[in-house]
Amino acid sequence: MSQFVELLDQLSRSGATTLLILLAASAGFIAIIRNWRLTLPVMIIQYVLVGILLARVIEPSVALIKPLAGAIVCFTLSIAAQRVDTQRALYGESVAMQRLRQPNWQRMPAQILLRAIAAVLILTAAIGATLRFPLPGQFRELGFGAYMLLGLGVLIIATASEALNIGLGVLMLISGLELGYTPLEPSISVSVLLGFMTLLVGLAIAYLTLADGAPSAPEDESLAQPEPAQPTLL
Amino acid sequence: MLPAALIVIAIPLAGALLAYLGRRWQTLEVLIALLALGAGIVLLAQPITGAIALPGLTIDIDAPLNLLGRVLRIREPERVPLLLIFISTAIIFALSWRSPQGWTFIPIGLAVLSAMTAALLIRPFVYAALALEAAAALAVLMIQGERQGERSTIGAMRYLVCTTLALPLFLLAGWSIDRAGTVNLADLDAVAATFGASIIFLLTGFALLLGAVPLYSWIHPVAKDAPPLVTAFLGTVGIGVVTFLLLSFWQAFEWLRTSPTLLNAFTAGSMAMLLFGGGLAWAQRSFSRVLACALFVELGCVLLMFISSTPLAIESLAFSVIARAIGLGVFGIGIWRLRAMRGSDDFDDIHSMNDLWTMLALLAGGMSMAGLPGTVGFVARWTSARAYSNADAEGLVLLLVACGSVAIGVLRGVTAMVRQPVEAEIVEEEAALPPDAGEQLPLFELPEIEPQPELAGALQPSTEDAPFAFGMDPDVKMAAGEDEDAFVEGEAKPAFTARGIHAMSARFVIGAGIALTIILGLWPGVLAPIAQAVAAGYAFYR
Repeated sequence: MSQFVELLDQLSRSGATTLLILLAASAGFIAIIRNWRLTLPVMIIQYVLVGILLARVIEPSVALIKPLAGAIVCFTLSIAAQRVDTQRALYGESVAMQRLRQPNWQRMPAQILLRAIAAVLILTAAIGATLRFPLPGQFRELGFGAYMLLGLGVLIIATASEALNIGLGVLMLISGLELGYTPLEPSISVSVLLGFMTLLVGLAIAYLTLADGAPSAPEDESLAQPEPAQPTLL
Repeated sequence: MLPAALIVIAIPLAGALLAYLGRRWQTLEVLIALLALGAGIVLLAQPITGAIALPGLTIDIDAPLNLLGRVLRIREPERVPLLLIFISTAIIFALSWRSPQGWTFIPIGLAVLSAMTAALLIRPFVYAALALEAAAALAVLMIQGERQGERSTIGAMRYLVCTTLALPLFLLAGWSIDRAGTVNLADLDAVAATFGASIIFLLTGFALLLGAVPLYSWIHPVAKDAPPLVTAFLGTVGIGVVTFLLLSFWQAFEWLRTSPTLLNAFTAGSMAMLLFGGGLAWAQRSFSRVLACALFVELGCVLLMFISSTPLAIESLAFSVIARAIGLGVFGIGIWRLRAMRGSDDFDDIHSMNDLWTMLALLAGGMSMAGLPGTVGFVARWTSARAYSNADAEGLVLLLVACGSVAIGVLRGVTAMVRQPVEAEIVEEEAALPPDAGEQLPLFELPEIEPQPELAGALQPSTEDAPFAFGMDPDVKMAAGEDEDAFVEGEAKPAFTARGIHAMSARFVIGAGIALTIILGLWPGVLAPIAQAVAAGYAFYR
């Protein structure tokens, strides 16, 4: 574990610009793409980036909680999503892998473009908010990261329809909150509590993902029928 | 010396674990929950300066518990409200004895109660938001229950999102309060400049937690999706804890309760909620929607009491917690029975359902929510009316009209239950006519109803699927096709009938709930000392 802590400590001393660009790219990617096979690995990368940024403010050994909790949550979510895909495949519905291999080129560009424009607007607003309403403390880069993750998290919550995608927005929101609040109160208890919160929320989202993705009970005839591929997912 | 705060938090958690292990036996599960809650009630009923001596162990009631540098402690203002919350939870769990709400209800409900208790006890206040977020994450499992399928998660997800959105607002409010210096509270401009941001953060945070902003936030989806007693639990315990937390803020920060911004916002919010709930309740087409509208009216009433800020207003808030537990609980049993027997609580799907006990539960619970005299809801409403009457007559009238609207909504639903289906009426009329009357007087023609075997098959899933379809415990085996003789041609056939729904014990639970509604309505003196003790705990109105 000490090697991880040392690595996190070294990475936290790297340039903030690179970290923020990577954070913006990961958050933007998750906001635009709706395929768990792509977004969950990127989400883990985002947790690592958040951990590196947090290590600039608090002890690296405490900051390590965030990537660890995030990785556990993403792993749990991937198991839930895989199970849902297996069930959907039995019903003839489109699954994540199939949408990767055969993307719907007719509808996909419009959807991606719309989300990309919204994401760019939010990134711009985050820059503006960082300049106009800077969060207290000397760590301005964390403020920008917080605004960015909060904004894009809300965007995902507002635009996604599936429990898993909304859940990723909620988790991103909590990451943004942690980036914004930790410089205000850099204590172990806050980091531990927020890490615990990430795990608990992740558990709830995994449960909802399983419920949301499972085929409906035949209460309604239309719901019992296999549905065509859902192009909105990518 | 063991701090009682630890015990009060740990008892529901231990009960949750035991109830989870015993989840296959409904009676045992309820019994475990009631025992755990009973222990909590006994502990909280002790005077704040007291101590309980057990063999080898002494429990100090007001001793602090340090957890990660934060202090959790039972103080007098929180002790009696917590007692009320525990009693309310016990009532709802007891009502669920013969109306199982899914395996998550009692184990997760106890864990949620534990987190919410921590939210009331923890200081500094901002950490209460973290405890509430933990409670919301757990409550999601209760709301979802065992339902599956696309778009079945809207209610649960909406609740989680609203609570998560409130979290940063509370943390930021806490930080900005810590930074603020001393201000002359008579100087409103200085107060606004110093605490303006904190007030906005707290206002928005509490509005999100209460489901007040935006108006169509988590209450309606949760009422529609969740098992009815889960809605009752969240409407009582969830909203109750947030209300008492707000009272604690009210008590701790003088600038908050004297802020014109906050008072104006509360006035506007309460009016909007009364208008929204009251305006829509009478026109709803399902009982769960009526329940959601009744909750909106309740919230509007709660906000009115904050504007009033008198001892009577706080007594009313305390009364309303118990009244909600009983009213929503009994009403929830009625909705559960409708869903168990007809698979829906929509007015269109429940016609000619002459089940007396369901009707009684819906009437007693619904009228209590509407505040009809003779029910426990009336006590809360009457106290509210007395507390608010000096402040604003228009608000009072609006409250009364909104309550009337809820009553109309409930009565419309009950009327729909006794109404015969149109097709059956026609069949009866045709049978009454002479054989050639139809040829002489062709009043109208009906399209021929063809049998739809695939639809009938869809309405009668296997017994394995049934519990998951309606969010019930797998132990309650659903038996399709019971009461064959009662089926009327042309009417939607009852898809499921829960075995045991007509059992004597199920009727006993409903009867006990109705009796409680009426007894506490006629003799509110039973609850009055608790309500007065709650009011005595807060001193800001003096």
